[in-house]
Amino acid sequence: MLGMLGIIVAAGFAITRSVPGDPVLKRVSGFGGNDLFRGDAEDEQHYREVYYREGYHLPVFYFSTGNLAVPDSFNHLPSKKFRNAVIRLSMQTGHPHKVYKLLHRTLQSLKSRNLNHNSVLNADINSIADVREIKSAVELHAEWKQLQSEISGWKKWIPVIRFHSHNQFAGWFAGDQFHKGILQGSLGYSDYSHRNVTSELKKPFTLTLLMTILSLFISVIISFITAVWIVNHRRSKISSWLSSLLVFVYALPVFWVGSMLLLVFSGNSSLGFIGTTWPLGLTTDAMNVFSLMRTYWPYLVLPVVCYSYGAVAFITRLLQSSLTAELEKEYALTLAAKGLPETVILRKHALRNAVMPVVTVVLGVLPPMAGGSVLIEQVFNVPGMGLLMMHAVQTQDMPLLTGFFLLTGALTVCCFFLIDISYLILDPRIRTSMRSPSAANYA
Amino acid sequence: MHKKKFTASGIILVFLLFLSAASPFIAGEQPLLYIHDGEWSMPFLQSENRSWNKLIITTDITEQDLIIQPIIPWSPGRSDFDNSNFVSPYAEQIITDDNGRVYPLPLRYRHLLGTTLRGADVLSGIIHGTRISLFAGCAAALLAAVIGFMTGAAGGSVAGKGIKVSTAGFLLVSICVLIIINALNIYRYGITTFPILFTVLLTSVISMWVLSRAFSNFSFYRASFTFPLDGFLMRINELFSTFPRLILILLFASFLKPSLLQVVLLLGFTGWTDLARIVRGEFIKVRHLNYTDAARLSGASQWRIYTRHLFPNILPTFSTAVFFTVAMNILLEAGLSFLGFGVPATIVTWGSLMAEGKDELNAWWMIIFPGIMLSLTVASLISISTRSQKGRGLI
Repeated sequence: MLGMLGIIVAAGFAITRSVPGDPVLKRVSGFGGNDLFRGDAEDEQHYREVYYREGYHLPVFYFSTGNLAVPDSFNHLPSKKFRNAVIRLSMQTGHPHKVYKLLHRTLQSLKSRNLNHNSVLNADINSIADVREIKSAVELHAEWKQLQSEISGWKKWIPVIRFHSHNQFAGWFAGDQFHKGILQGSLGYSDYSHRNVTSELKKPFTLTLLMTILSLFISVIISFITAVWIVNHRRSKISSWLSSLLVFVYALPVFWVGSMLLLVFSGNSSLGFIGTTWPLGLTTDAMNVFSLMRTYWPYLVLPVVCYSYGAVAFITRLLQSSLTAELEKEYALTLAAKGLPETVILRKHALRNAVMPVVTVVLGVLPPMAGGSVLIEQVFNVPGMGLLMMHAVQTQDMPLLTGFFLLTGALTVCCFFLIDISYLILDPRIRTSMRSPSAANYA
Repeated sequence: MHKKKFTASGIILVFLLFLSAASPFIAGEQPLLYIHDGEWSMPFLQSENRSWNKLIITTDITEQDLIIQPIIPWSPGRSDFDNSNFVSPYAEQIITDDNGRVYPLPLRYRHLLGTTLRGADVLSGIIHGTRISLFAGCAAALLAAVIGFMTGAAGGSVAGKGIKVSTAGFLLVSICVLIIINALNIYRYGITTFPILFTVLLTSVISMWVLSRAFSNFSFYRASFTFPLDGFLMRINELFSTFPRLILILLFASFLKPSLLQVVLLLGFTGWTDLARIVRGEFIKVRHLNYTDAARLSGASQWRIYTRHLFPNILPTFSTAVFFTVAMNILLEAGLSFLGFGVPATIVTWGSLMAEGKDELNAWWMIIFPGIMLSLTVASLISISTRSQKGRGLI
C-alpha cells in the first residue's frame, strides 16, 4: 500500500518532468511568453541563478543511461544551445573535455569580437574548422583541425548506466538547501501564482470534498430506497421499466444535464432561490465546513444534483442485482418458506449481505470525484479542484499538478484501505478466516 | 428471460452507423450532381467555393440546369451570415441575394434545428458530428481493448505464479535494449546516418541471440528467477487508474497538436485499465475449469487451450465491457470538445455545439438537440452492453 503510494509519487513527478517546454524560461519570463526575456546579460544571469537554485543542473533520477562519450556533468551548463552543441560535438569526436574547453574558448573569442555564434553552435565537427568566424582566428582554426584528426567515433555506441545520489527527485522529495521537500511537508510553490501549493489546494479541495460527500450521501439514500422498492415489486412491469429508465439516466452526459438545469433554473421563476452563477471571490478564509454550507447552499444544489444522478443510477442497479442474487440464496428461501414477508426478509436479512459491492463502489468512486469534475465545474463555474486543475494544465503549472497527483494518490490509498477494513467489518467470515485459516472452510 | 432479436437500441445504433457513413450525402451545401449545358459534374467532391443555396433560391438557375443537393442543404461548419447570431428553428429565416433583396427561406432550405453564432446549421453539424463521435469512440475502444486484453491475459494466465525468466538471458536482453536505446538517441541528435544505425541495431540483436544460443548448454545459463509479471502489470494498471482520466488527457492534450488521431490515442491509452482488470479476473476464473484442466492433461498445446477453451468463455464479459468502453469514450470525447480540447476548433462535433450553446442560454436548440443525440447514442450502447448480462448490473 505504501509502495503504491511511492509509485504514484514517482509517476506524478515523472509526468511533470517529462512535459516539453523549458520550466526555467517560464519562471524567468513570467507567463506572458518570452516577452520579458530579452536575452541580454541581466536576463541570462537571472536565468542561470534560477537554473541552479531550482536544481535543473542535476540529473533527474537516481540512475540515468548515457553513453561513454558524454559525461553526466554536462547538465551543469545552463544554456541549452551550448549544451546541445557540446553534447553533439563530443559524441562525434569522443573527447568531451577537449571539446568543451575548445568550444568555450571559441565562444569567448567570438564574444570579444562581437560576432554571432549561431553558425558555430550548429556546425558539425567536420565543417566547424571551416566556419568563417573560426577561420579568421588562426590558432583556434589550428586546434579545431587537430581535433578533427583525432576523432574516435566508437565511444558513443557504448551505453553506460550512471548512478547519482544528488538528483532532482531527491531534492524534491527530501529537500535541498533552498527548498523543503515532501518529507518535510512542503509541496512546493505554484509556478503561476507563486503561492504555497498547500494553501492553493486547501479551499478548492474542501469545497469539492464537501460536494462529493454530500452527493454520495444523497445518492446512497435515494438508491437504497429505490432498489428496495424495485426488488419488492420485481414481478410488475413498472420495475423493469424503471430499471431501463435508470440505464438511460446513467447515459446522460453530465455537462448536458448541467446545461439543461441552468436553462431551466436561470429564468426568474419561483425556483429562483437555487442560485446558478457562483459569486466571485469565495471568501472562505475564516469559514469551516458548516458555515460554508450555510452560506453557499443555494449554489451547491445544482452541482450536487449533477454529481449524484449518475451515482444513483449505477448504485441502484448494482444493489438491485445484488439483492436479487441474495434472495435466491438458501437462507432467504428458508425464511420465505417459514412465512416471513418478503419486505421483512429484504429489510432485515438480505440488505446487510448485499451492501458489500455497494460499499466497494462508493469508496472506490470517492477519490476520482474528490479530484473534481472539470465538466460540472466548468458549467456552473464552481471554484473547485476541477477548474483549478484545468487551469494548472493550461498554464503547465507543474508543482500544482504534482501536488494534486499526490493528494489524489494518498486519498486513493486511504480509500482502498477503508474498503479492505469494510470487508472485515461487513463479512464475519473474513474475520474468522483470519483468526484461524481452517474456519474458512465453513464459509 | 428471452432475448429479443431487434431491440430499440440496436435500431438506434444501426441508424447512427448509417448516418455517420452517409453523412456527406445527407447534409451538405455542395450538390451531388450538377448538369450544366449537358456537362455533368459532382461538386460535392470538390472544396467549397460558392454559395449554392443563394444561387438556387435567388436566381432561377434551376430552370436551365439540373442541381441535386443533399436532403439537408447546409454544410456543417459553414457560416450563413444572413441567419447568424443564433436563429431559432421557429424564427423567420431569410436569405439575401447580391443586390440586397431579402427572400424568405423555403421550407426545404430552412435551418430545421436553428443556427449557431456564425450561422452554421445545427442539424448538419449534428449529422457530421456523428461520424467523429462514433469513430473516436470505436477506435479508442479498439486500442484500449488490444492493450487491455494483452495485459489482462498475460497477468491472468500467470497470476499467483509469475513467469520463469532465465537470469543470463534477461541480462543479455537488457544490454541489447540499452544499446538500442542509445543508438536511437544518437540518431535523434543527427550525428549518424540511417544505414549505420540499422547496422548497429541488427548487429546487436544478432550477436545477443548468438551469445544466448552459444551459452545455452552451460549450466549457469539455466539459472532462472520468477518474475512476478502479474503483480508488475497490476501496479502499472493501478498507476493509470489512480490518476483522474480527464486530467491526464487534458495534460497531454495541452501540448500536442489538436487532431482526431490525438484524441483517439489519448482516449485509448488512458482507458484500458478497466478492460485489463476484467480480462484478468476472467482468466483467473477460467484457467482451472474442469475441461481446461482435462485439455491440458490430454496434451493440448497452449495455443489450442487459449483459442478453444479460454477465449470463448471470456468473450461475453469482454464484449460487454468493450461496448461500455465505447460508450464512455464517446461521452469523454464530447466532454473534451465541450471544454475546447481534442479535435481542432474547425471541426464541428456534438460537444462543440453544446459549448457554444452554454454561453448563450437563450439558444436552447443548441443545447437540447446535440444532447439528445449524445444521450441516445450512449444509452443504446450501454443497454446493448447490459442486455446479455441482465443480472449483472451496469458492467
